[in-house]
Order: sequence, then C-alpha cells, then structure tokens
Amino acid sequence: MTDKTPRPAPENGIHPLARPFLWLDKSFARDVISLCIVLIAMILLAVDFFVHRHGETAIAERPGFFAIFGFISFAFAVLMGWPLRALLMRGPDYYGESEDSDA
Amino acid sequence: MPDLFAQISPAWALFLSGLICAVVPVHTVRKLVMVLAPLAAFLLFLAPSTLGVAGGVTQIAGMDISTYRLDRLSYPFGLVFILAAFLTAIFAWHNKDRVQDVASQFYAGSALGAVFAGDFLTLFVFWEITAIASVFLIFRRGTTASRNAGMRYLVIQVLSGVLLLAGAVMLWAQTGSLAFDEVGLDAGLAGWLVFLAFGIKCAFPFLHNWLQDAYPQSTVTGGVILSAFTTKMAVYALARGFAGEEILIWIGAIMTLFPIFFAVIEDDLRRVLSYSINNQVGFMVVGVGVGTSLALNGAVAHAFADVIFKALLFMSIGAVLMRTGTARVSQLGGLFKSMPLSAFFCIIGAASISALPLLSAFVTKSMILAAVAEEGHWVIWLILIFASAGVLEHAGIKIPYSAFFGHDSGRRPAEAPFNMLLAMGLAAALCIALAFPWGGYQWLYAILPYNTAYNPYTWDHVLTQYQLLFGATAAFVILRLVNLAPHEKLSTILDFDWVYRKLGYGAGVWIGDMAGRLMAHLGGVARGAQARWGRTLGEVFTPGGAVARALPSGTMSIWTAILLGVALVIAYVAA
Amino acid sequence: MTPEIAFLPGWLVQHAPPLLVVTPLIAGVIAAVLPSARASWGIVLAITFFAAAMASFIAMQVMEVGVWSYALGSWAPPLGIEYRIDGLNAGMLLLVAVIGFLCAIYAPASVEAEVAPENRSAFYGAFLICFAGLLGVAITGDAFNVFVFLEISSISTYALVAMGAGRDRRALTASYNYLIMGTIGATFFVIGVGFLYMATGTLNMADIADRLQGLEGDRTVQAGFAFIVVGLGLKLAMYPLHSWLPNAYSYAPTLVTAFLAATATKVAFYTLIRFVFGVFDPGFGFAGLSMIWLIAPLAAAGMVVASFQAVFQSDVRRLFAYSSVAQVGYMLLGVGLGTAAGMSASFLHLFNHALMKGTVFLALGAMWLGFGVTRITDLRGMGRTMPYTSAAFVIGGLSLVGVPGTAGFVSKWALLVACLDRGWWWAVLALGAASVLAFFYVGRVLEMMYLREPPQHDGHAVTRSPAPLAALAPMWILAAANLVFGIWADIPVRLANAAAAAVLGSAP
Repeated sequence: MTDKTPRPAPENGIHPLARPFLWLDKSFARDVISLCIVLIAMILLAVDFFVHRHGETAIAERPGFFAIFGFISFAFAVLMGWPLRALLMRGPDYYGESEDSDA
Repeated sequence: MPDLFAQISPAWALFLSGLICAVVPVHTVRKLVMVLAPLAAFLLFLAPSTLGVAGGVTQIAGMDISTYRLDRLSYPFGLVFILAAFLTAIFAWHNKDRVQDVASQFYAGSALGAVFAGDFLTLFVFWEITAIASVFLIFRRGTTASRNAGMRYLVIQVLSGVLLLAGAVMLWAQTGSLAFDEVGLDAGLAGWLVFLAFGIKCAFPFLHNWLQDAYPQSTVTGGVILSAFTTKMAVYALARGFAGEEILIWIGAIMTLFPIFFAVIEDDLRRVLSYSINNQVGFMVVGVGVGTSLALNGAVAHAFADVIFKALLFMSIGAVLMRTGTARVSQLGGLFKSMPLSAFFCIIGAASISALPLLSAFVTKSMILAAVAEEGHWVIWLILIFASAGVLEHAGIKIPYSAFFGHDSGRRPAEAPFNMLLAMGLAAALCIALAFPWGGYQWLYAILPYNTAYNPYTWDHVLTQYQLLFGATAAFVILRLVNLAPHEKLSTILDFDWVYRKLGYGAGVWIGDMAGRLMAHLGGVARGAQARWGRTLGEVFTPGGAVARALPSGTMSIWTAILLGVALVIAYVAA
Repeated sequence: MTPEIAFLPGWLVQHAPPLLVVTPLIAGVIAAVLPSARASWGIVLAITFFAAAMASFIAMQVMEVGVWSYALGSWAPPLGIEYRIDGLNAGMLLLVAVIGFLCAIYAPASVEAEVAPENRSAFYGAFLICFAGLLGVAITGDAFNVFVFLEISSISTYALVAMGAGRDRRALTASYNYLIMGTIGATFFVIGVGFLYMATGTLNMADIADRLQGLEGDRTVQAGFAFIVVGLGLKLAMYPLHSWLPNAYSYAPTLVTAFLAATATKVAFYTLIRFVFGVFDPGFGFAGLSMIWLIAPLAAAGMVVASFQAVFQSDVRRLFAYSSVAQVGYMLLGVGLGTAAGMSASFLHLFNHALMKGTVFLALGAMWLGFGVTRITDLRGMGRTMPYTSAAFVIGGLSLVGVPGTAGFVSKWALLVACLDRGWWWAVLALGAASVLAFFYVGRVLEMMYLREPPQHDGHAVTRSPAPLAALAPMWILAAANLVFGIWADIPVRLANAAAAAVLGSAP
C-alpha cells in the first residue's frame, strides 16, 4: 500500500467493482434518473397537502414549504453563479503563483 | 486504572509520538507509532472514572496552570480529535515524508491540548503550536503557491495567538485569574481581543481567507488533517468563552451563507471543501450564539459529526488528487469507473454533510435549527434552511458528481491504496453509526454537554428533510437539463483576500518605492547634518584629539556627550 | 564570617573570594608565555573549571548564610579593599564562571581555525585575564577597584577582538572603535567615582552609600551620578551608545563573541545596578527621575530601533549583535521601572539572555567552523547539513523570541507583568513590538535554515558535516538550560528575586 505510482488498472482502467454500474454513464439512464428525482420531489410535495405536520416556525407549517423553498434556494444559489462569475472570475494565474511543483 | 494516568492529558501521547517520529528513520515503525498513539491517547482519555478532572495542575511563576480539564464540554471534542488523529494516521500510512508525520502528530496533539487547557496560558501555547505545526503540512506540498500560501497562513495564525495572549494578559490584569472560563464581550477590550483571536481560527467572515487560501495548497494527507482540527478547536473555544453571545448568531448565519455562492463557481474541489468548512462551522457558531442547552448540544454534536464527514470528503478528494494530480472540476469527471470505492465513500460523506436522514448531520444540525426556532430567530432559521439547501449544492452534489460522475474526463486512475480506503471506510461507517436510529444517535447525545430528550427521527422531521433535499435536487436536475447552471472553469475566484494579496500588495510595493526615494533624499540631508555636527563636537570629545574622521566613534562620543548633558540636566532639575 | 560548607580545605574556603579572581589573573600571565597553545588551553580549562566550582560554592554559601564580606590583606573594610558578595553578585559570579568554562571547552576548535598560530598562547592568556577582570568587577565592593577590573577586562577584550583579524581584517577597526568607546566609558566612570570620592571621602561602596545620605542636593554627587550612568551605559551598550558592539561582535573570533555576548555587557549592567541602587539611593530625586526620563525611554527606544536594525542585517552575527542591543533594552526597562518586580524581571532576563545568546553565538561559531557561514544566505539548508547545531540554534532563537516553554518567555512575561503593574502601557507596547520584530529576524534565519535547499557545490548538494563534540557539548548544555529554565523557572526566579531583594533591601 505504499505505491505512489498508479498500478496499471486492468482492462482500460475499469475497476471490477464499477462494472455493474457502467450503465450510469449512458445518457438514457441519466435522463431516467433525473426524471425519477423530479417525480419523487413532486410526490413529496403532494404528500404535504394531505398530512398535517408540526413545524418549528409558523412558515414551516405551510404545506409544501420545504420542497418549494429547497427548490428556490438551490436554483437561486446556482443562478447567482452567473453574475458572480462575471464579477469575480479571473485567469488561473491571476496571483502569479505557480501550483506546479518547482522543488 | 491507576489515578496517575487519570491526571495526564492525552495530548502528551500524541506529542510523544511526534518526538519519536522525529528520530525514527524507519517508515513502518513511524507509521505504527502514529496509529498507536491515538489509541494510547484514548486509553488515557478513558482513565478518569468521572468527569471534572483538573489534571496537570502546576504553578509557574505564581500562575495556576492546568493542562488537563476534562468536563462535559471538552469530552466530546477530545474524543473526536483522538478519533480524527487515528483516522488520519491510517489515511497517511503510505506517506513517506517524515516532516509531515512529525507535523501532523504535533498538530493533533496541540489541538487536543488546547481543548483540554484549563487556563489561557496553556491554551495560548497549544494555540500557537497548532499554527506552527500545521504550516508544514502546507509547505511540504513543495510548490511556490503552497509556500506563499503557507507564509500567509502562518502570519494570520500567529497573529491570532498574539491577540489571544494580549487579551489573556489584559483579562489577567482585570480579574487576577488566568482560568479559561466564560469570557464574554462585556469584559471590554480584553474580551474583544480574545473573541477576535478565536474568530480568526474560526474563520469568521473577512477573517476567513487563510482557510480557502491555505488548505487547498496543502499536501494530500495534510488537507485531511487540517480540515479536522483548527476550526473545530476554535468552535470549542467559542463555546467555552462566548456561549450565548448574541452577535455570534449573526456572524454564524453570514458564515453559512456567503461560502455557498463562492463554492458554486469554484473550480478547485479542495477549495470548495474549504468553503464548506466555513459553511458548516457557521452552523456551529450560530448554535454557540444561541447558547441554550439544546443549541450548545447541537453545536457540539455538529462539530463532532463534521470532523468525521469533512475528513471523509477531504480523504476522497485527496485520493483523487493523489491519483490524478488535480482536484479541479474542469479536469475531472467519470472517475467512478476506476475508483468506485472512493466514489462510494465520497457519496456517503456528501450525503452525510447534506443531512440526509440516517446519516450523521441529520441528527446534529437539526438540533441547532430547532434551538434557533425555539428562541424565535425566524430570519436566522430561514437563512439556515437556505444554507442547508446550499450545502446540498456544493458539498452534497457538486463534489461527488463532478469528480466521479458528470462529464467523463477519460481519466482512468487506479483505485486509492488500501490504507486510504480503510480510513475512508471507517469514517463512512462512523457517519452511519452516529445517526443510527437505534442506539447510534442516542450514544452521541449522551456524551453532549447537556442531557437531552431531543428526538430527530419524528416522521414529520424526516419528511420535511426529504422534501427539502429532493426539492433542491430537482432544481439541480432541471437546471442541468436546460443548461442554465454555470460550468466551472480553470480560474481564480476572487475573495476578500484580494484586498491584501492584490490591493495591499500593490499598495505595499508603491509605498515601499516611495519610501525608498524619500529615505534616499532624507538620508542625504541627515548625513550632511551629522557630518557637520560630528566635526564640531568630535574635536572636543574624541580622546587624543582625533578629528572626527573615524565617524562611528565620533558620532558615538557625541551621543555620549548628549546623554551626559541630559543626565546632568535631569539631576539639576530634580534637586 | 565563617563558611559553613566544609567539604573543601579550610584555606581554600576561607580565601575563596580573592582566589576566584587572583588565580585566573596569574594563570593568564602564565598561559600567555607558554610556548604550546595546547598547554595554555589546558590551563584555561583547569582554571575556568576551578573558578566555576568556586563560584558555585560561593553562591551556595551566600544563599545559605547571607552576605559574605572579605577584607583583602585583613585591612578592615572602609579603608582596605573589600570583596563583598551578596544575592546580587553571587549569581553574576556563577554566570560568568560557568559561561567561561563552557566557552573554554569550545575554545580550541575556534582558536585553531581563527587565530594565527603565534598568537594562540597570547589569546588564551588574554581570555583568562578578561575572565578574571569580569569576575573582579562582579566581586569587589570597592568603587575604584571596579574601575581597575573593568579596565583589565576591557583591555584584554580589545586584544581578543583584534585577534579576529586572522579571519577578517575588519576586526582591527572594530577593536579600535571599541577601544575608543570603551575608554571613554571607563573615563566617564572613573570621573564619576572621583566626584563621589570628593563628596564622601571614601571608595568603599557600602561606605559611600552610608555617607551619601543627606547629600541628595549636592551638585558633586549629582554630577558623579550622571558620569557613572553614562559611562556604564557605554560599557553595557545602552542605546544609543551601542555602536561599538555590532562590529566587535561580528568580527571577533567566534569564541570571543559567544563569551562577550553572554558575560561582558551583563557585568557592566550589574555594575550599573550596583551603583544606581546600591551606592546611590533610588529614593534620591535625581536617581528616580533619571530612571523614568532617561533609562526607561532609551531602553524602550533601543528595544524597538535595534530590533528594526536587526531585521535588516545581512550578516548573521551582526543581526544577533543588534538583537543584543535590543535585549539590553529589555533589561534596562526593568531597571527603569524602579520596582522590585521590574528589577527581578530584569535580572531574570539578564540570566536568560546570557543563556540564549550563548547558545546562538556558539551555534553560529560552529556553523562558521563547518561552512564559513557569515551571511544569512550562507545558512541555506543548514537544518540538513548541521542538524544538531541547527536544533540548538532553534532553541536559542525561540527563546529569544520568547516562545512559551523557553527561558526567554519566563523573563519577558515577568517584565510584561512588571510593566502592567506600573501601568506603563507604552512600555508594554514597545515590548510587544520588539517581540514581533524578534519573531521576524529569528524567523528569517530559521526560514533560511529549514525551508531552503542546501547550497550546491560542484553540482552536488553540500553534504552533512556535524560540528565537533567540543562545540556541540557547551552549546547543547546552554540550549538545554534554555528549555529547563523555561519550564522549571524556580531556580533563576529565586536568584533574581534574591538579587532584587539585595539591591532594594540595601536601600534604607
């Protein structure tokens, strides 16, 4: 377990344990998974309108609060990336410090 | 167990191992020592039969020093630090660099020592050792960037210690006691100095840049070790000294908030994780600020869980970095095909930090949220919920997705070595065990500072948590689908450190330049004046009538004369 | 008085104080004329060891029994010369003797590399005479005798510094400058003593102190005070009278630098305290005011300015010479406070500074022997090429910065507390500033030693070359003392408190 140089991985580098999961890479599988996630989210949202649950704050007791708030928060965080990127992103060597080994 | 052992701080076990590592050239022996030292520390830790130990009490120059205070607050922190030292020692088994071995043992030992410190002097000593020991974990990366970042890190960390010492001295002058107990901001300037010292290590907003600056430049194993100790030690110190300080609630809330936006666009995954430290520590700071027993429990429990899942995430990304040589999103993707186990452990860590029910953060973070709501801070509560969704974005999804899935980079590195997998596996198992509904979280709650009857596994809590997480994930899916999410690019993202790295540096260069010119000018004037005076007075005062050609002795004798004059004037005035 | 500890022969015990001074003086003359340098060194080693043993015996005796007064030639004190040892100078004697012995161990390594063969015996002779002079200054209770011994030690020091010319010709000008400044200092001092004699008609220090009572308003006494303070200020390198020191320390043979840094300024400092507090009464208006308006501000200024100068040096020994000037500031600040706590802190720092500078300069000496290190850049990779020497250096350096766990921390802390007690915030500020600067100048050196690659020679990295044991042993003894006294500070604290008590207690 002291190898620093990677062993040549068997057969194109695919690990045997990863073999059963290679389908994850197919775009069709990804679409299905995406669809499932959206569906589950909608089901969970729907459930909220049929059960009565306790919330820690008043707003939390509104039906659908968590699902919708989660969706909006996430989307907001990601979309804020555009203006921030325009504002803050610089070239990788902006500070002029090399990250490559120079020892 | 003899009483003797009950008085010895477990930190010494780690220090001792560090000393041994410093002299032992044989790799295997050193590694064995590093793995065994936390176990020895653990045995020492178990030795006291009751809490409330005050061991290692001595008097130095009239001050009461206590190096081992084990009570209900320091207990969980001590335990998790020992655990972290153990896990990181396994993770670093393959690492042959003796300097890093020594540094990490000293670093872990001093963090442990700081947590057990009963007085400010001891705290200060360990506080500074953490800074000095840990910087080698950054330097040893061996790049220009790491050297510079390490120096900046060191300066800021040492500054924190200096502030701490200054505050402690002032407190001592005020109260006559060095004991490290409740400080509070009412203590005036002294309180604020100590607060600032803690705040630096805790990475408060605007004091946080050392973290994102230095951690991503550390070595592969160094990153893991660094992630575990410094900030959590600071959380402990805050909980000890400033529990219930209102301002902490807002500081914490901002800490949970701002890193989210930076993490979204950041390309370097270890920097993303650094921002994530900030965000998670923010939750703890809020808990400390609220200060009720539930909130403090939550803060401590969350720190406990965070040490483990954050280490796990750093480990998995560290494995990627070691195997591929990069941790940048823009250059990674699809690694699960050749590193499936690392990918699996990374997912566990990511789901833990996102507070998925049955994983550790779920049982810890919810206490903080409940306490915040209980005290009626509903704006803060909303911010924390928002931040929870944000955590899911950068830590829960971005880390595993962009490294192991996402766009296939075509890289097929070998799986991480066994020792790394073992460490990751243990950490992942702990993430599950800590939240296990039947006996797992109950054990964690039992070691918290206050007794609690809180139950995280109510059906509505689980339901709402799933709603939040799935609602957020749905947003991820949809944004990817319509291609609205910004892609990471190989880049530098500016943060507040721009102020001193660019603006301050530029200003420094300019001022230095100007000062140089000014001094050159003034120097000419001064030399002229000095020479004139030297000639006149030198003839009188240099023995042997030597003309003031040998300027050093000439000017010196002038000084002598001036001082004699001053002394005489003082004597005459006094009489 | 009759000594109580009786494991030594009776005559030795009885006459310990003069023997401590006279033996090295005579042996110095013998050593200087011996044809073989090795034999001279044997004498040096034996005599310094003997002196160290005697000094420890005397110190123990004084700690147990109290003041030991010895009348030379059986002439009763006020008339005859009195050797007088109390809590203040017992520690000084011990310090000088022990450091002298440790330096003697290191001597041949340094001498054979740095001093021309024909000068070696003379060098050893001068060393012993300087040693005797320093002990004499510390032990005597007679004001004029102080001057005599001060000159004995100084003149031999000029010779010692000048012998660095074998390595660097600039040692000659350094020595010349030192000679001029030292002579001015001594002249001022002896003028001051003369004034005191005019006013009181006696030269015995205790006697002067008695007769000065009620003479506070006497102009002669005041002038004497001013001359003595300035004269000694020059000898102990009080800022801004320090400029002889950096050159002397950087160009003298490495052994001499280590010995002087640890002892010479310390003895001058002791003399200043002896006069200001033991002879004059600090209750005198002019003495108290001079402390506050002259000594303390100059001390603070010296701490900060000399530290700044140290930061910008490129020669290592010069860097630490400036650091010595700054450290003298620390000690003077404690004196300037005028409180018992300040006095004790200042003595504590005196001891500890001798320990740390001894370590640092011995280590630098060993590095010069190994690699000809003079500039800071020469220290590149020293952590790898001379690991043990570097480690000792690190301890000394950290102690200098005042890192907790080292002796330097204990004394700086004590000084800090003393300043706080007095409410002198500006002094606390200066202390803090000087410590931060110390962090920088020491850090700069450590960075060079540990974070840089060793220099290349013919395309290969320079190999390891550990220092000889004769250099490592004394260096490590001092380094260990830095650590030990950093944790078990009781012994030096007791000595320092005894010194402070002796000084302030003698004032009515």
